[in-house]
Amino acid sequence: MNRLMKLSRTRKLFRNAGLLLLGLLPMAGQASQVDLNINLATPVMEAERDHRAFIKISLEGFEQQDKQARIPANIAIVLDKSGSMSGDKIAHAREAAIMAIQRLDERDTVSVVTYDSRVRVVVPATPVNRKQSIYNAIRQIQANGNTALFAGVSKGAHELRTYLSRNKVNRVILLSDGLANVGPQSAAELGQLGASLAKEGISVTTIGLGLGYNEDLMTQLAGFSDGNHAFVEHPEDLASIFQYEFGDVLSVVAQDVDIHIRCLNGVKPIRLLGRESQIMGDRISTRMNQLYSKQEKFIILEVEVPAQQTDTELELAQIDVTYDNLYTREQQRLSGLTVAGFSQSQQVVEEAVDKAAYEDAVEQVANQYSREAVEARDSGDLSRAKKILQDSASYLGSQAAQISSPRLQEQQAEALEDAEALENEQDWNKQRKELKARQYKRSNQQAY
Amino acid sequence: MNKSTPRLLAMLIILPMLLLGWLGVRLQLDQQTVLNYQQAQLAESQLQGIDQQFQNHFLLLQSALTPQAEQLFSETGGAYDAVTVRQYIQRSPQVRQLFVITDRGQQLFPPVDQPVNRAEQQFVSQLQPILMNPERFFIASTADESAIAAEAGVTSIAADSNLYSAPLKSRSVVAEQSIASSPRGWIAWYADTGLKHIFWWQDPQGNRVGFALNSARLLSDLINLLPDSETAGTETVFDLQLQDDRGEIAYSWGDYEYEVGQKPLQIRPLSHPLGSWRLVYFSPVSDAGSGGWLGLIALLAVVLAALSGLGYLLYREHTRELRLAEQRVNFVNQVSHELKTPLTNVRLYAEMLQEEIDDDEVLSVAQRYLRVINTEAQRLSRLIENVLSFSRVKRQTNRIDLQAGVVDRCIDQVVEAYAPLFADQGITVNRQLDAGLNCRFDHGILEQVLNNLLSNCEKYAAEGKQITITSWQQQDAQINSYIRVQDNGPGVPVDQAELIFQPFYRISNKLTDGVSGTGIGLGLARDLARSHGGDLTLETESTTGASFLLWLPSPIPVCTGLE
Repeated sequence: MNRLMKLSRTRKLFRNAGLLLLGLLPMAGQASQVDLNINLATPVMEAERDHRAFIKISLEGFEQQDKQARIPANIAIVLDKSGSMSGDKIAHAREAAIMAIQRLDERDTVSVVTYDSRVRVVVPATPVNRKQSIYNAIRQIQANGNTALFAGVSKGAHELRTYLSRNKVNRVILLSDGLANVGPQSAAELGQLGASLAKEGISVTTIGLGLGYNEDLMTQLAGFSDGNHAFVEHPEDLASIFQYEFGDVLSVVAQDVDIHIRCLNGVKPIRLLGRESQIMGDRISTRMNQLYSKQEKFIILEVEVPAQQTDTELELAQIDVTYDNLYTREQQRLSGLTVAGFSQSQQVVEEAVDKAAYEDAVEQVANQYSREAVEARDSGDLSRAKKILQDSASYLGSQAAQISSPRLQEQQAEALEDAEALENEQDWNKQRKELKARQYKRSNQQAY
Repeated sequence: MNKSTPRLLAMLIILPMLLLGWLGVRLQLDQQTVLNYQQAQLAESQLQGIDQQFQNHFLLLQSALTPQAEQLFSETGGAYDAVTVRQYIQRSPQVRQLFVITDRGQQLFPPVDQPVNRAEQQFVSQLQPILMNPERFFIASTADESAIAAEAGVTSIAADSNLYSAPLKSRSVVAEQSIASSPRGWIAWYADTGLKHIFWWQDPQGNRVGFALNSARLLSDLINLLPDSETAGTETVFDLQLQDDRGEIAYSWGDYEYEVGQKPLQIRPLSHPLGSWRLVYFSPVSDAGSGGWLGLIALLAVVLAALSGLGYLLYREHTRELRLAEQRVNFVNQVSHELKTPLTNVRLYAEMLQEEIDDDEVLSVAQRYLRVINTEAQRLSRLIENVLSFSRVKRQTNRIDLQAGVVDRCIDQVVEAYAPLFADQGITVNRQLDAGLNCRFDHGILEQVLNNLLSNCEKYAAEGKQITITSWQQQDAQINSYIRVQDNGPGVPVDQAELIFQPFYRISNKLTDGVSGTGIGLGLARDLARSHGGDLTLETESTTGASFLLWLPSPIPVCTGLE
């Protein structure tokens, strides 16, 4: 295994060394470089038969060397102030927003938009230098009316555009506790908007409060723009979620990450787990909007590997990544190659397993099961949904045993719990929101 | 009279109030109409402005997309290779997908000979109506080519009318052409229950490059062209809605909360390619006029108060006058009563004395004096009787006292009483009496009426020397007695024929001046006759002097056998 890993790494270095070193020479040091790791869950496969293999492609943001030297943030906070938000919720939302803004300084820009049936730009995009007046404006917010979520997000994005820059972290933070009922209200339409915003370098983080919001819409909007998504049941928890979110925003080190994968040597891509992707023949492409300091983001590619002779090696896929380094302010390129070995010896195969990559792959597969279960439950097929989750649990169980992973065992228990919870009609709404949020978190490796 | 006065005053107040109110309401309504019209005009111009803004947005999009299309063409050398186009799609926030077809309808992108992704697959199947009938879309562009150069702007009426039929035909395609060196235009079509937009551009090789817009993004951009409710201002009194092709509100702004079911002030369908979308303007119905209504009500209240005050003052004045008049009448009445008793005694003793002296023929001078005393006393007593009757009639306390008797006998008695007076003045009374039936009538009334008539003759027609009294009776359901008193005096001028019956009225001329009189005689006589059910009239057709006709009806005689 070590040999193989080394091989993949050296190839990566070898292929990129010239370009990278040239690009980095004038810079402070090579620390401000995103780490690309390509791991095969099963680096050595049994020879003479077809395989399904998982390739984990992970990117880890470099550490922010100096907290003071962080990337400026350009944030629009979009608050639902519809009637359902009245009372505790709006009060906590106001406080959470104010506390979060306290972390910003004059490098950053912020705007606050509220919406009910109509939209109000409470704080137009402005540099954060007179915090008090921003707080005052936020404290004026009172809840009533309907939910024009689409228009709210539109206006929030519009405010962001005032200071929009590829060298800033541009983010809309949407808080909603209700169903969008004015303007477009389908998850697909909001997803389309999210996709369009992502192309401009804007991410939308969606925070669902309470049990009344549309989790599909909120996860689609976040997913297409690669923002975060969180389910907050109790308004008291809003402050900490906002803190996490702002922490994330303030630790972004790279943006606009494009990942292109080309399968080689007859290897066929089956699916890319976790994120939206385009698969065209042997080519797969996907993107992430940003990478955070010291945070790993990964995708799992499932491929079909044709049978090989023993003791051979096969190049499975070529991976190319481009991203904008916010510190050096230039686009950087990474690439790598993944190679699998083939052996007749069962022992060699088992010893070679990359446990971390394997766990991550299984987790993503189980996550996919979980999504399917929710879909089945939505279509009213309770027994099928339950069956899917039970399959997921047994899959998790067998994989856990195979590589003796306590983490996968936990997830097996979790899947069984979920299967039980499916039947409870009363709690389904909450359960669904939790599931959706958890699925989202797993597939996007969200920090909180 | 007492009851009708307040009624009259109330009318005096209510009528002008009603008139004023009506005029005020009319004025107010007119003003309202004008205001509404102005408001509608204002709204219309605002909506028009928004429509124009949207048009500009499409023009901007067009001018942004055209160079991008040109660049795509030049970068790929007209081959539109998948990698470059996909990269472009991935970078462009406004564009969701892109297609390229050759002038022969061949599809260059999404590629047919290479693997495509799911989104592209879906896009192609969605595009089928356009890709299947490329001629349609080409005809529209080539046929218009010459005319287009002159046409500025994105919209044209023809395109609009085409577009409106689009939802009915479902997925029908409308192509439209605008200013361009190379042909380009907008297509709006229905797919997935929504209006989708394609901007197409023809490259120098004749290929059509079609940019399918991200419709959510398009709406988001349109929304961002519109103000939010904060910048629209808190004093705005409208609610403006952008409604999509499904009639659902896509965005609304303004601070006015319209009521459910309220009619919008103005609706404006948007121009191509946003046809079937519309702007709807709500605003309060009569907000601007409420001040006017308030003013009107205040004005009416003030006028009402003023008129009521005036009416009250008038009423108080009037009742005081009435009370005073009544007091005066009462006083006269009282005095007359008081006078009556001593006068009766005077007459009685004067008559008795006259009879005593009558036996003794020596004292003819005394006899003469006594006759004067007697006549004057009689006159005085008639006067008093008149006054008392007058007040009785006026107070409606007059009672008819029907007694059986003969009318002619009564006439004779009255004439006898006047005999000395007439004799003094040399007036002869010519009687032609033919009312001898026994009937029931009020003797007092008949006497008083005749007294008044004869007294008038004595006063004003003494010159005529001749008085003719004619009487007759007719019998049908009742007995009608008629008495005509005719003199040879100067008569009554025709224009005053009715006036003389009014109380206190006296003909003023040389003849009457200097003659004493109360002016109540004739009026009283008529009132008495009428209270008896009859009448007293002045016969205007008489040639000389005045001729009065008295008609007294009386019920069927109770006892004809008395005769």
